[in-house]
Amino acid sequence: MKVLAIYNIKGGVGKTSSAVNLAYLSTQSGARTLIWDLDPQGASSYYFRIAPKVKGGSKALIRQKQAIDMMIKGTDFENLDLIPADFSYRHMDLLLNRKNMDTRQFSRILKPLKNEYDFLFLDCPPSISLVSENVLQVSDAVIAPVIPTPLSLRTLQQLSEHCQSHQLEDLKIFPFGSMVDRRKKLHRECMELLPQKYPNMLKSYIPYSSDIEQMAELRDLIVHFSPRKKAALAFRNLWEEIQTIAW
Amino acid sequence: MMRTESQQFTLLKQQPLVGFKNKLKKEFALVEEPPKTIQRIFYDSFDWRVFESSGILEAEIHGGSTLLSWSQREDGQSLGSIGLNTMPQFVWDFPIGPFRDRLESILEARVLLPQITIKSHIHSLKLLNKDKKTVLRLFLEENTLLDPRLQQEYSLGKCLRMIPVRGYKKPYLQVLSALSNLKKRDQSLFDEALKRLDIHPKKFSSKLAVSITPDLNAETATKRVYTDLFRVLKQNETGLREDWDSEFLHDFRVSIRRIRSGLGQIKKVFPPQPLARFKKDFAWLGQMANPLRDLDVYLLNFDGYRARLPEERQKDLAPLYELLRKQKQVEHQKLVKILDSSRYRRLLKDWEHFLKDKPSQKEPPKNARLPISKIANEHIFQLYQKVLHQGQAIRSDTPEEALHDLRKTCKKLRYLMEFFQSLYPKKEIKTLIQILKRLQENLGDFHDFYLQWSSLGQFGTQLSLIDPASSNTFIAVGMLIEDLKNRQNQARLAFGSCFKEFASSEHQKRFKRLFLKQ
Repeated sequence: MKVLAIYNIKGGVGKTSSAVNLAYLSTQSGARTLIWDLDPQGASSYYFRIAPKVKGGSKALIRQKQAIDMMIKGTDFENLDLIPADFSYRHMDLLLNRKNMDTRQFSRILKPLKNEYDFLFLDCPPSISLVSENVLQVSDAVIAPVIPTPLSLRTLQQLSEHCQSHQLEDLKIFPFGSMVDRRKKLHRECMELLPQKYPNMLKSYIPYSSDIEQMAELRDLIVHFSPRKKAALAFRNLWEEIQTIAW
Repeated sequence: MMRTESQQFTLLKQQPLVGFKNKLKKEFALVEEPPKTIQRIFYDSFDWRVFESSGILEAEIHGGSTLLSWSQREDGQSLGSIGLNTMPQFVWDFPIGPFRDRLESILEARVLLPQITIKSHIHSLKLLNKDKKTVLRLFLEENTLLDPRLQQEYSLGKCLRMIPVRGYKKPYLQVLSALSNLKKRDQSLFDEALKRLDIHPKKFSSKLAVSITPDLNAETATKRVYTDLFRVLKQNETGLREDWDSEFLHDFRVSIRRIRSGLGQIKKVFPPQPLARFKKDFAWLGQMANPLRDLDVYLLNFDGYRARLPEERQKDLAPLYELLRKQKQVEHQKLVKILDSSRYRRLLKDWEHFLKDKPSQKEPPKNARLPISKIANEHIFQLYQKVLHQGQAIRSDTPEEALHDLRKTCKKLRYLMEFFQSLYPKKEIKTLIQILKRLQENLGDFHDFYLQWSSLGQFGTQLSLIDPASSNTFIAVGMLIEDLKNRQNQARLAFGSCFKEFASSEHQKRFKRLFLKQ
């Protein structure tokens, strides 16, 4: 099982919409896929119409009192399952901070699933915390959506520095342009600058699109309800690029 | 892993699907999809590798699109599904990704063949919860099996399939209890189709499937082994003629080699006269098949060859690939002619008669009536000792021929152990075959690398004659030859430790225990 963290320290950059659409596309290419909605706000769970609740909450999950496979819910799409969000995830940091826990706790929790799935997507909450440290520790790659603005560039820098200072130098970070509006000069300039600064920057990017915003209203994925739309095709290109790198 | 199992129920012949569907819709908040008629084609290799790995590969063809689903035969659990424009023949024709990688470990170089075709008329229903999330799927189906051999159709009846959604057990149990008056189907659609078509996947294996008892006479027991080897040979002929994949020739050749090895090793069991003729004719047949197999090996290894060259040189091997591909076509045609020849047909006919002939009553050869266990023990142990002697005589400066001779003796020993493995405790004989296999792998590498670099040298020369300007290809082939020579040297260097392990006193005791005492 390859673990892909969809992560950025900054919020509102399109992490969830990327995670759910990419996860769907991975199942379309034949993979058995799981997505873990780690954000207490539960947006991924919402898109899949799955109640943001896990039995026993984050305590049962982190302390492994409840087997993880009992928490898995099937989505409406074959071979795509979800570990839902739970409001108690907001206290996950505190649980991870207790003794006997280290940054490898997620690895222990996920171990029973490693032969059952090909890809695990982690839809991560923003900010740097013990949760994100666990995420980085268990991940094979970080897929980082970046809105091409100076502020996003700064958070990308912070993420790279964080990885280096936590013995995660080998962890590959793959940024990609998210919510890119090519009508804006600033976006165009930043999109040119990013690959120079980050050689791992992916070539595909996701344009800003009202179709993506429609996902919340329909509680569906754009790659499913409008697969021919520009944004859906952009996700398809992005997935093809990621799969080549990650597999 | 605890999972809610999918269920299948048999519906009565006279029960109209639409009526049953409406009844269900009255009871549950079901959403219906438009009914459809699809074709389901179950794919597998000739030797049913997907089946043997407890899987099913089912292509659903509907409206010009193909959805290939891989699932576990026992519980229907999905192992992935992939939408395809055209059905790939080989695993390397699939898009890169986990589906392909997992399937490759099962299929290797085998072609996917359509094994079973079912026409299905399906009404699909979904049970939704208050959030309009699907929590259960139901399929009402009427299935017809197509038999391409007899150009016939068989009705497989009507059924209801109930597919749970993971994590939603309650709605599943509710619907299940409402269906308690229905009869559960005792076998899956796939298993029923196999039965109706009288297909037994195990019969297509190239592995020896002979069971003999220790006190059976040598003549009968050996004929049983030959009969099974002949089954493999005949089974693979069509695929070899049609060139479906390289494994048909491989298995065809292996059965010839095994027959030849048996004819040479198991002595004084059959009269010398038919034996000498069969030895000669099977040797001829094996020889005729060699050039094509060599080309298959180079082509199968080609990606590996390319990968061992520096990236900028890899494209220079393209003309070599083309040459090998063309040569392969030529050699294939030659072999097909052999298969059409009267000598081959006569050999097959006479060999079959020989195998079916009853044991001769008057003056049987010396060993014909002896119990097979005695013959097997003696021959296997003699060959084992020969392997030990030949191996122990090899030093770092011993000429290469000695390693080739040892490789051949090992092969003979391996075949005999496999022929008669049912005479010995399963675990012990398997362990000893594994021990021998490790030594064979080293000797095989040494020999294969030699064969490859010497043949590639000849192909390189051919290429330079065809196109004197192709110096880049010539250089790339040269680099490849150097690499293969290095690998051959490495195999030679590793021989010492491989043989030491094979000949360890612990393993010697095991061989003695199994073959000397009995």
